[in-house]
Amino acid sequence: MSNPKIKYYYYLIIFFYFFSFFTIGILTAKDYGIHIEEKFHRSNGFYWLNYVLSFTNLNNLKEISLIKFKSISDYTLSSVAYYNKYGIIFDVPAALIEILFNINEPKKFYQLRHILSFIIFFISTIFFFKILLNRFKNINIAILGTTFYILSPRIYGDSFLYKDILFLSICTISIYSFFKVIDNFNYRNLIFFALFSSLATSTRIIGIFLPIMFLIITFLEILYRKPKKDFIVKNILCLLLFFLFLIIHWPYLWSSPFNNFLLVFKSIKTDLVNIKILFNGIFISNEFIPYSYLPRWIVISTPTIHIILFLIGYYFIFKRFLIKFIKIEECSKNHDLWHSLNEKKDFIIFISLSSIFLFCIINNVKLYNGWRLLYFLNIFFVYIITYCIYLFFIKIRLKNKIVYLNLFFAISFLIIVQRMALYHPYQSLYFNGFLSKENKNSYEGDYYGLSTSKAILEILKKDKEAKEENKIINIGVASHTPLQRGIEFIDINKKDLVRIVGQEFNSAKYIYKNNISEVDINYNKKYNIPENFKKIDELIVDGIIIYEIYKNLKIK
Amino acid sequence: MKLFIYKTLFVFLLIYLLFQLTIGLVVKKIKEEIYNFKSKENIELLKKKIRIELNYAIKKDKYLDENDAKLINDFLKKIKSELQNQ
Repeated sequence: MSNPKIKYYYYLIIFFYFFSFFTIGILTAKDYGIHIEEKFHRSNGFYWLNYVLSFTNLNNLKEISLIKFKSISDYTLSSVAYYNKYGIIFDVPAALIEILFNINEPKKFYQLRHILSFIIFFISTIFFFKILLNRFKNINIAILGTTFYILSPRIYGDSFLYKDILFLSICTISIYSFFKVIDNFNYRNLIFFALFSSLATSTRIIGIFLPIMFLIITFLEILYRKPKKDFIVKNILCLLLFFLFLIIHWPYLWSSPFNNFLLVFKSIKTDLVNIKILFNGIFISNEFIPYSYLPRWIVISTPTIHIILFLIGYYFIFKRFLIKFIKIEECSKNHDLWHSLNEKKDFIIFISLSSIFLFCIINNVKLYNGWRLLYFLNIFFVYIITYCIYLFFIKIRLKNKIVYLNLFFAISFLIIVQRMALYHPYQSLYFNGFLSKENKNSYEGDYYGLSTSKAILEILKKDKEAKEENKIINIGVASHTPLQRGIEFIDINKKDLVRIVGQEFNSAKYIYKNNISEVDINYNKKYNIPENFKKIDELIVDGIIIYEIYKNLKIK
Repeated sequence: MKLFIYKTLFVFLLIYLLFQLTIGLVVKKIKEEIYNFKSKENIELLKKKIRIELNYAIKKDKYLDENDAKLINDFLKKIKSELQNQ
């Protein structure tokens, strides 16, 4: 790409590519409903903002944050003081922006968070593009790979809801900084890697795999040849910086860094809820999820083209490292497991994915809501998909048929986009063609409760008394979704018209039901709809029941 | 030395995987069985079954086998006499 004209042309394409994606995301952000944990995270933001400000003289700001924190009350909400191990890198800045811009309307401060979340995901796509460009040195391949990253429906849908995608985004940036360390083992790159991997670790403790991978690579380097003194010093410094950054930006660690850090690991066992989850038509305990849980969820909720390309790419990477492993000699000219920096990067991705995947399956890690806790694995999936595309390009380049390959991918992307548009704004619930329409409700549905506010608004629209006489209506809930939190996202003047009565169906005029239950509904009948209720509305997307609304026939 | 370390790590990994996929799997199954047995759903199921069985017994003309009836009768008499002697 030495020709400046071609370079300019490519830059223009890249700019329009990212600009279009950004515009679509920002324009559609308002379509996404509130998810059930947003209220908790807002509360978490003000709690820690108040704590951080208590070390400063900004009393006014501190007072506002305290007032805001105290105003967030809900009987369905967990105590932030108890569940205080969540990272703050999203919640505290969002809380600060809310105060600084004087945003007081609930709908607006949640929409602000959705936009912020999408912007972080958008930044991560740029870094993912840079990862691919760094590895494959081909803009065409990097753009194709980034498109696969964006067009992962469940990931895209969740990109407005932070939580899991925030971790995925920070992991992407951390892996980019890891690659930069591999390219150039200097202090600047090491500092950036330590910083971003610490941010990833505070967001989700599993982010600790980043410094662990760094240690594994260091160990393999030492095994290959006797290291220089400088190499060891830099490694130790990187680890020290990692812990230093972790303590600096995570207020939870301030009172007792070492003990509190250990407590985070202990809390993985205790704080994760123990519930029944609907999997393949039966309710299973998430204490004992079957080995097939994770692979099956990934296979049914990822576009088919992703899966096929991933399997091919994984096969070739696995084969390459297996051959290299078998051929290890006591004294060799090249490194044992990689012959170039690019192969070293492939090795990091391959080992990270394989070890995390196997660790979760074998150690029976408590999962729920599909595989959302492991959405960050999508970085590795798409990297391997791109590796597969790279292999295709090498094969086909010789035959001068790259245009056909690009056409094939363009058609595949159009099909995925069409499916994503069909699901909008419920891309988080996407299932591919592997699952028949009849089986789509054999798995958990709207676990985020994204449809709650829409369902409440539908009820208000349908109910004459509420519409004309401003009478309060009682709504029951026949699912494990705190409908109460959906009220946050509706206009203030309509909020007072709704009273959530939970499972006290006798007093309910309407019942909201979705496909989420923490108990086995075959034995526990608490979510059974009484006979005097009749279904009056439902929202079904691609065969998936998002919600159903029932009306009490006894109450006029 | 290097080869020895690689081989050792590889063997340990294989042993770990083998253990988890054999004994680990059996332990997991047993734990799951115990968990399911103690679960609220299972207790509810047992209660339901007992209720069905009691209803069935009430409706039937002769629920117990003659020998069983005699055995239970003798047993109850024995218990009763022991309790009276206390």
